[in-house]
Amino acid sequence: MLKTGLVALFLLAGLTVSAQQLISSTDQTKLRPPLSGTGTETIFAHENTSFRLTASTTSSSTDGQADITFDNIKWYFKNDAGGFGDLPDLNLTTAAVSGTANSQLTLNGLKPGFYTFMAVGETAGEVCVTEPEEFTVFVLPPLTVTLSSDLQSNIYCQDDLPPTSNNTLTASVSFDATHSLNTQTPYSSTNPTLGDFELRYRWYKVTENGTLDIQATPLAIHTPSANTTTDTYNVVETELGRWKYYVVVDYTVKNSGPYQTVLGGGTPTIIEVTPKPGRPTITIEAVTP
Amino acid sequence: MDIRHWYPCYNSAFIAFILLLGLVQVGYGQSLITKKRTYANFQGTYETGINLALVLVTGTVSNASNATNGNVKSYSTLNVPVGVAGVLTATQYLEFTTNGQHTNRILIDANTAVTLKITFPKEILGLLSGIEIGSFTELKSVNAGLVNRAGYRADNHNPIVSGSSLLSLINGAGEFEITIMPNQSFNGVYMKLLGNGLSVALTNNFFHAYILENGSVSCIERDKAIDKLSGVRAGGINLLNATGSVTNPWGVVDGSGPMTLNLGTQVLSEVFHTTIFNTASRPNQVAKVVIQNPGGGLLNLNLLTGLKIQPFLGNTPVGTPINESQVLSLRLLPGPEGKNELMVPVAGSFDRIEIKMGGVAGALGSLIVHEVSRTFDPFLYPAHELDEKLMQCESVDLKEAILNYQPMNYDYNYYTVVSGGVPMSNSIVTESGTYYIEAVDKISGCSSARIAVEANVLPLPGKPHLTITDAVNE
Repeated sequence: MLKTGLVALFLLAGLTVSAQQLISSTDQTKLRPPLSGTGTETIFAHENTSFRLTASTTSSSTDGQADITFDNIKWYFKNDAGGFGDLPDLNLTTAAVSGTANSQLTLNGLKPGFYTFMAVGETAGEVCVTEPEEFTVFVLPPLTVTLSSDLQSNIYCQDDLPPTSNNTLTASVSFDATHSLNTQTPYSSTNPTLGDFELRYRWYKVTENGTLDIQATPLAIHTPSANTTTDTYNVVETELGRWKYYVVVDYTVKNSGPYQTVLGGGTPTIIEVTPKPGRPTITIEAVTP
Repeated sequence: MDIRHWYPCYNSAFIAFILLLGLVQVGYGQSLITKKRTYANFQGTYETGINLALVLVTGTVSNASNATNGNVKSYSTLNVPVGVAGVLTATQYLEFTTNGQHTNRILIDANTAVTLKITFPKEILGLLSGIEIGSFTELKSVNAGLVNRAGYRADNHNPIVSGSSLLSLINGAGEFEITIMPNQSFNGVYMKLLGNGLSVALTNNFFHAYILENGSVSCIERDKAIDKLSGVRAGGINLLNATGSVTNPWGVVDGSGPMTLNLGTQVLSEVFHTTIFNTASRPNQVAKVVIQNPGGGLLNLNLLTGLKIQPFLGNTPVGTPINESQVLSLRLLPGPEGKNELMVPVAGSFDRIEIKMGGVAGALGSLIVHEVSRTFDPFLYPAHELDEKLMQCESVDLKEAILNYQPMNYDYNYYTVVSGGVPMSNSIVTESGTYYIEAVDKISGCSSARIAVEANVLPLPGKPHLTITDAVNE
């Protein structure tokens, strides 16, 4: 009895550890190291990403003497060989240096993946040059969502729901193949897979002529802890009408997307719920011979 | 003595031999085996002329022993007087012996270079056909005769230069060295003056004659200035019209004070002064000249029209003129005089430095020269470059201060004290302060002066701290 309890405890602990491995708003273990920061401030959605790095204009005590004023800060990115890459060579929209002693670096439009920026402090005349201080961020890849159905018929009667063996809508998610991950980094080999992320699936139905409002209350919200790249929804609605079904997916680690699709794609599939027909009326009429 | 040309300049065999000898000599107290002068040390004269009523009138050689007394400043004077009808001659023989005795004369191999230092006044330029220079053997004493005085006469003369060939060699007036290579073995060289009814006296000063032989030279002596030449050259005008003079020309050689080069009224002629050092230099030794513009202040060398300060090895220029060098260190020395110090490392070997003025319109008229010297001291980069090289992060490599750094030829020692002490283990210092650099000639073991440098070692700052702000993440 005791042994059984211990095994159960270990299994539970194992499951707990496994659950913690998903990258979520509360746990970014799989992105760290080498990700900088203590939370999610160094994780960005792909779309419209920008941020500023600011270097102190006096030295810290790390790897040298503190409180020495820098005459200039030089900025680099860490290239795939782990060396100093010049910012103009980085494949992004803009990288602008500004501020006192060039202490600020503003970046826009990073593609998905890891980026490590390096700041090197220089004293007057470039006599002394510090070891580089690194700062690593991660940009989330956009997602592609597909939605499929195993319903045998897209019309069913209000009182005749699809059988449980054929009432499933299945959403499948993958990294958007048109947005490749950054290769100008030494950390390409540690890029996470989509399955490493915790995803949120929100299911909606919209009238045939309606539009999706993701602020509306969804039919269901799922955040699977395993097999995170797929989710299912069972069609059990009995509300009469012609409906389009949507799934909306996003990362839970950071506001991103959301990435959505409708069942049927460009020509949405309409699932119609018809009313239960009334009893037939039986009348009798004279038969003329 | 069997003198051969084993050691032509830049000959690798010669260099290897010198290296070998030098290595041997290191153990014997810092001296250098190199070519040095061996002076002719026996002299004889032969004076001939005419006998007028038992009065013998001849050419003369006065102060004859001065040409062999080992004093480079002193000279004999050969003279054929003016206005005497008849052939008069004055000949002086300078002979190489082992001990100054004619009986111990030396037969020197043919084609050995021998150099004579002679003064040629410009007044005698038209009389150069009356001067003959050559080598001799078989010098013998002669008794006084009807037309000659007692003295010495060689039975075998080998005349080499005279007349126009002599004019092309000197092309000026003043002190000149004439180097000849007799095609016969010889005991010495002679100069003969000959005149007949001269309108001006024919007079030459004969300082000495020497050959170069390998010998030991001490560290102190190796870079010492030992001789000088000075005078005027024709430049752009007829030499007879040339002006110019050098006052106190021995000053930069014997330390008796500055000399002054004056171009005189004829700026198209040239005035020159050549400082001759004891030995040919080792590679990248530093030539140093301290000059003063009589007008005062820091000289703008680019504006010193007609000035050329040129190292030579014998008669061959070595490198670019010092005042045109790209690595010239020019600084105004402290003090009210306005002395300008020019220092340049000279890659090639040189044994003399000539300062020449004039030859062009607008040439500098006068120049005071305080010092012409040569050292193998470490030659530092100019101040602005030196500051950069000696101000480094965490550590400074003192050898970076040395512009003429030549580890193939010199070892370098680095000290924390100006004298004595123990050399540092290497040239890297991690603390700011004054350090001293010394070069040691690998061949001779001779040590240079210790040159002070100021190292400025800065602390390495820690990394900058990075923060992220202004994130747009939608």
